[in-house]
Amino acid sequence: MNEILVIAMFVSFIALLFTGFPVAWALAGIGILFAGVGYLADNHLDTMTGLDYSTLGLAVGRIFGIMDNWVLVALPMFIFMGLMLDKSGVAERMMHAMQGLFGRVRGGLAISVTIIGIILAASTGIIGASVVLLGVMSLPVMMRQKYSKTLALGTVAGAGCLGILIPPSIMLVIMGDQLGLSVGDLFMGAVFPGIILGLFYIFYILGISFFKPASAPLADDVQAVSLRVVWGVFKTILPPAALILAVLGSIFAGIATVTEASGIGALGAMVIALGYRQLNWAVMKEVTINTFNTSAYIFAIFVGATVFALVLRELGGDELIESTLTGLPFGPYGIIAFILGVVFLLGFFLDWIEISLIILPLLAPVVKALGLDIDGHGVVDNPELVWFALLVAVTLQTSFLTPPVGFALFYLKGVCPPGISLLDIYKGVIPFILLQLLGLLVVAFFPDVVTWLPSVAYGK
Amino acid sequence: MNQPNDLEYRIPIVDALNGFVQRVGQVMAWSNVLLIGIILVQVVLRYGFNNGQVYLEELIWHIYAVGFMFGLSFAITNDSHIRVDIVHMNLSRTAQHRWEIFGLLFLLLPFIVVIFLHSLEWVNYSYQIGESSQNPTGLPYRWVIKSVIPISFALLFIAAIARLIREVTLLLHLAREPEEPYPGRVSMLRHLFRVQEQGNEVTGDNQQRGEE
Amino acid sequence: SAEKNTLLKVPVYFGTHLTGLGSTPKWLAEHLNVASGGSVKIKVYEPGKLIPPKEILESVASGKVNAGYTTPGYNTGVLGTKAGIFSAVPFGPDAPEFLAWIYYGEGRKLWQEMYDKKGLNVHAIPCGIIAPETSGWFSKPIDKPEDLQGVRMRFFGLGALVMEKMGVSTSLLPSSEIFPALEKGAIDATEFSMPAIDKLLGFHKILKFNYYPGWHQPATLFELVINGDTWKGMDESQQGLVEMSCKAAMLDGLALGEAIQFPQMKENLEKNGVENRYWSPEILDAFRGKWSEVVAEESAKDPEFKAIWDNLESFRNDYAVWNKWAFLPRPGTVREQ
Ligand code: NA
Ligand code: NA
Repeated sequence: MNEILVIAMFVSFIALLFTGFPVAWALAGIGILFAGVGYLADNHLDTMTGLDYSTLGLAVGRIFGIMDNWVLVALPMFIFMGLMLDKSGVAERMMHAMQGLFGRVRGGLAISVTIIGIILAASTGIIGASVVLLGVMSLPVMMRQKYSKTLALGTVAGAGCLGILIPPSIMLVIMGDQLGLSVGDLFMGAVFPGIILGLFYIFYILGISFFKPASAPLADDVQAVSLRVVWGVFKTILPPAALILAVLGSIFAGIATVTEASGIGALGAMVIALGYRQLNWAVMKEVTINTFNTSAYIFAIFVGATVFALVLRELGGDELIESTLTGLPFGPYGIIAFILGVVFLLGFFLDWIEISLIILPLLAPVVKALGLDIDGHGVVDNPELVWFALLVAVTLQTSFLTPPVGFALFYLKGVCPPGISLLDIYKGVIPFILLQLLGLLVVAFFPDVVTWLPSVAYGK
Repeated sequence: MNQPNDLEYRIPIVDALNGFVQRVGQVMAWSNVLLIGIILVQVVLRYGFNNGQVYLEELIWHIYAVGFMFGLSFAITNDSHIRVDIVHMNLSRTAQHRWEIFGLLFLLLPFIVVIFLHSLEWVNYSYQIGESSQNPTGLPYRWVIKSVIPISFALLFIAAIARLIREVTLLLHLAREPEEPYPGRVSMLRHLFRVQEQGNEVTGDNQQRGEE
Repeated sequence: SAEKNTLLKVPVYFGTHLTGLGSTPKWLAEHLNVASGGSVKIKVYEPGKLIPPKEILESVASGKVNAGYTTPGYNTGVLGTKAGIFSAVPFGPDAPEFLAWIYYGEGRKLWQEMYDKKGLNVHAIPCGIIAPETSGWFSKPIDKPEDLQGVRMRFFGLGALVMEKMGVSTSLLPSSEIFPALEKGAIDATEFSMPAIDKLLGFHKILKFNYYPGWHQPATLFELVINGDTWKGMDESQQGLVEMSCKAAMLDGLALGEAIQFPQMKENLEKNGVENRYWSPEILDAFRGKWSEVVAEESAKDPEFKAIWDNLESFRNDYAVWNKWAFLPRPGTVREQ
């Protein structure tokens, strides 16, 4: 009986999602409704959920638990930092400067887009934000330079999605919080997978522009790379890059807490904007309001999910998922593959926020109990969970790129110049999806890619 | 779609309610800047003077909590909560309004009411027993930060009601002949619910999700 | 109402993976569920699964959940510092003496009265005790009182007030947040529990100086709080079973705690490069002096603190004669560095 209630709850949630009602409120509302269902079932059927109006009061304490969570303070701060770099035009300057540098390399423009994507992403960590920003900044330029549509679109979508992985990533902050892992371990664990994927992208772009020169023509007005151009790049890229490195570095070195580093990062972004004389009242106000708004719709899902999870747990959802997964006849690695498959499919219609908040906590005990032999080098706690979290992260990134339903694709379509169809985008992302899968395999088969860096960092 | 966008409609009562929520939000939004400032102070005290303060640490999460809790209602007024719109965007306008009304009545509003009522009791309890931080050097008056829940949920209620009025009014409006929008006597009350089609200059609607 | 089965939902303050600390309510549940033949059952919820640990007391009192497992010292924000006396008393009684006061002195009565006077509708059952804890992990040796100046430390209970007076800036982080906070430099030092439990949180990876004795928590009590209405709704046999199981849990936790420390202390020394240190007499005296100040201040602030404290002190004064004559000195104890 409990199984039926749990399944009904999930199915109702997914069905209601497609009505287009906001995810956060669908989660919360389904939670409240199913508390009622549980109450009725207790009275009229043979269940023992203990759900009633009074139990729902626990949700208030749970919401307060989100409010006094000192790890999540970093979220609005990283969002502020990313928005400040964007709205003050610092990001755009970086784009122009890079173009000058790579003007004579075939595919250089696409490579610039990838690198900017990585830097920007590192500060926002929001797929929508990075894809839209990269799209707006770089698509017109690439089109003018007569890049093939598919290469241009694929690059933007791929580079934008790298954002959720490259630290400081707010997704990793949330995963760390939900799985009870050190955010530092996750950030460090993500460094090599991020770099590997970034390099895959760059090699692919270099390769395709070498074999199919027409897809990535050089600009007509290429300038020689003079010292002045190099200096210009240096000047524009250095401050934001240094800021991000300083933020990450102080977290990794154990000098600052994630909260402190994020706050100082936000301040640093303001200082850089000020340095470029781009910090004025209008920018400040826009960034402030946007940070407020963006944090709100992310946290709304936390609030909705906590109500949903409370009721799901009382209906027996944890036990059901645990027994279903451990009952699969696949062996531990088969179960991991199965879970990743499910996450990939969920990624079609859920953003990483919902997946990290609802699905991951349910999976963590299962993964922990699988007895996977992942080497933490005696330093990393729960290495199997750190590794698993990064597998999920890469899977999600891939899922967002995958037609027919991928968030990155929709965001990109929203900012495309006219004349580009969704089909062009689909074609463009295919090679990047293959690269993602390759990256996923690397992380899956060589867990040291994830666990080695955190182990040396703390292994003194 | 050649119909006017929803955002081009203005309904005075909805504007008034949303305007209130947004004005509160526009003030609360600065909490994030305040947060940067407090973190800076904490960092300076801690690294500069080896004198980190527990109450500052608590103040940090207090301010952060204020920031996102008050944002919940603000994000409703400019419709930026995350939606899955794959199916939704292919529905007819009336179907969209109907689903939205369904969601507001059966999902969002019950949630708001349940949490609001429970949180009132919960804050009152904290106040009655004089709850403070469990850290000896932490902040007193825990009920102050706890009351952020009922207050922000009250704002959420206002925003949800505004949204509900808007959806119902637009649904009715769409069903009418555009030539004679409001037959019958025009009362003061009715005027509040009158749909006006306007240009793009709509308060707060420039905070669209795709733009950030 | 002999036919009615009762399910107690018990959110706990510590993860049950913390053997010797969080494992007690799990032990309680397993044994009670079998012994009662289903008439009264306990379902344990890991920290945060139902509610955040800090919300346990309020949720039980208001009936949102019918029971919880915690310790009064975690609820000083609600109950005032006097609650700390029912958790652990600095320079206070060790486990046998503490239990003597609780069960056969007036300890338990005063404990329940504390809730009743606050108007909290709970029935509190002492339900676990652990032996001395280590009094802290530091990154550097603390040789003189001044070395504590400006240290940011996680510290529990009444001892935290003493540490504050020593110039330490204390905070009370829950177990899951301590290691990340240490790792990220949010705190420089910590105490949490006994060596076998501290090991599970990984302090030895970062901090190499482990200080003893457990002056701040010579013994620490835990409680099962049950909503008052739920308690009254249970029949006598159910109540009796719960009370008896808690007494059994108390004994089991104590025995387990005594059994699991030495292998870990050996490993700390031999493998983890941890140095065990005994506080210098000078520092211990300083702690003791500050503790007297804390008692005087808290007694002046809160008459209920004073009443509980005086009751414990008068019991201890009577006990002193027994204590003086009955026991051998603990053999092999480190007394100075
Ligand atoms: Na990122
Ligand atoms: Na302790």
